[in-house]
Amino acid sequence: MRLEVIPTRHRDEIIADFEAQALPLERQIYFVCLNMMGNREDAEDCAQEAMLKAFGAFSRFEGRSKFSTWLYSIATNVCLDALRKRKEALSLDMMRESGWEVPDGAPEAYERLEEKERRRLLKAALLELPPDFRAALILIDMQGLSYQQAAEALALPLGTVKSRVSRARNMVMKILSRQPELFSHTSRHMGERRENHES
Amino acid sequence: MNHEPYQSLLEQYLTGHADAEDRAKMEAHLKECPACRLSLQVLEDCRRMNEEDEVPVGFSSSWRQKIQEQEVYPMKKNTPVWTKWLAVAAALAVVLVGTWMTGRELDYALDRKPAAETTARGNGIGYYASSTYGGFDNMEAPVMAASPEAAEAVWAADTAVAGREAQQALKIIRRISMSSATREFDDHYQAIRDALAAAGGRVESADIRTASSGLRTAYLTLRVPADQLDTFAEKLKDLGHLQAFSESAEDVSERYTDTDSRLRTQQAKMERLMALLEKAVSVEDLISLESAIADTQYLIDSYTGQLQGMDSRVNDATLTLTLSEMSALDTAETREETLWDRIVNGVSHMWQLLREWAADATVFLAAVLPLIALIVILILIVRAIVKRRKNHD
Repeated sequence: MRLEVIPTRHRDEIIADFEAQALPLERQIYFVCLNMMGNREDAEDCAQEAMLKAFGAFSRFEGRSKFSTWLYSIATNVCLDALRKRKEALSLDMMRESGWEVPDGAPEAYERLEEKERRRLLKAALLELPPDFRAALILIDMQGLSYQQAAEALALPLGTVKSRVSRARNMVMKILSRQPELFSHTSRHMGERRENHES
Repeated sequence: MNHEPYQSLLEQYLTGHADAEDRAKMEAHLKECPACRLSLQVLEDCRRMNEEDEVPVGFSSSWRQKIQEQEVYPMKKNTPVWTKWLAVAAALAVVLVGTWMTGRELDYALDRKPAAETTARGNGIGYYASSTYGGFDNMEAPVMAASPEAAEAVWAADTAVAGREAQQALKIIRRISMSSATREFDDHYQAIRDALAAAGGRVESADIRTASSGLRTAYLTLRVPADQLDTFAEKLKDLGHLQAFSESAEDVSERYTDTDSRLRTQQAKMERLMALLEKAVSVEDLISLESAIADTQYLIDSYTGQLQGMDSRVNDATLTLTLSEMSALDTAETREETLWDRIVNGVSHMWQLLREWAADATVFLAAVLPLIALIVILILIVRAIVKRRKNHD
């Protein structure tokens, strides 16, 4: 049911209330979008959209879950919708279909790299995950949510969330187990995707 | 190498939540397991993923400005969950109480009330006591009292069985109807007659019939002194297998009092007529007095007969008994209820109660529906007025 617009003096109170709760989380929301979308432009768009959507739905927020969980949920859904529209999500299966194989390489390679390089490769590996698995991994391992909070944010059963995180980690391990020289293949592949998207 | 148990410890180890023993185990394992070392490294990198990332300049101000331009809707009041359950419980309680009260009203209307009950009902002026006994109302003349409790006290005083005068003042005709089955027809029939004689009763009628099967049935109407009735009935219950039992009590006190009053009136009239007859001189006076005397005597005889009949039935209660003979093979006898019988009877009784409750609930809801509709309309009107005033502001 559509509620009517309320007078100005109440608007300010509601806006102030929302900002007080959302401002401490805006950075985390942006990073969720960045890790989901893989580039700053898309991340900023999704984060803006998430904040506006959250504000629009603020009147219906009943407080049954934490505000942060609720906001994460909105941000994740915005990113998933955007990825679906983009139809750019690459899964390991899709990668294999294009002839790419995960080699059984020695895992020491990743550990010997510089932290900055590891982070770059990790982000690349993350983007190779299916969006749903990516979202679970981001919320648990990067944002530090508990499994229960992540389940609420993703609107999934607890067991499903645990399963997705476990499989996502395995996928990331397999990707990172490749030899360093093959990481350049991944970088090249991501570069081609970005060009296609921008064109 | 099995590193499954260590995989689940990784997170705790990384965040420092593992105890000393687990920490030692993990550190020893990490030295030997490259896969777990990689997992730990990746987990740590995940947690520090965005350390060097920056939020775009203007991101914060951008969304804050945009929400200023957005429409704002009133906040939904956060009602605790328990209030909703309280509302449901309150609605349920109203329906249950209303249904129960509806059932009580129907009980009074359909005379489903218990056999004996005293009530004090208000009539706006005072309270009068009434009693029902065996389904026959005995409304006394209004005894004006200040409160139901006072009226109850009046009624209790009036109906207290204390002394022969109080007992005799109440004229109750009791009737019992019983039916039993027995294989020892002759013995039990004789036992009934013996018990009747011992109680000081008599046989009003006895009808014994023999069916084509050779089995006999005795239809007995017995008159038993009222004060012996219960004892006598208990003895009969022990003879054979009791199949049916019913009891009623008719309060004829008012009728008796009325008839007695009329009799006394006629008797007083008779005395006056006799006195006039002695002083009568003319033949015409003699004839008219004789006619009046005859009529009065007729009424006296009639009332006397009625009073005697009522006295007879009050003093000697009536017990009708049907005694049926069973053959040796007859199994249709009264037997003790098995557990299954009790379950079936219980379920049947509960089903009956449920149907009665559903009917009462339907009546209640139908009765309050117009009231609920009226309340809803009033609420909508008030809300519309308040809304219009707010918009005007």
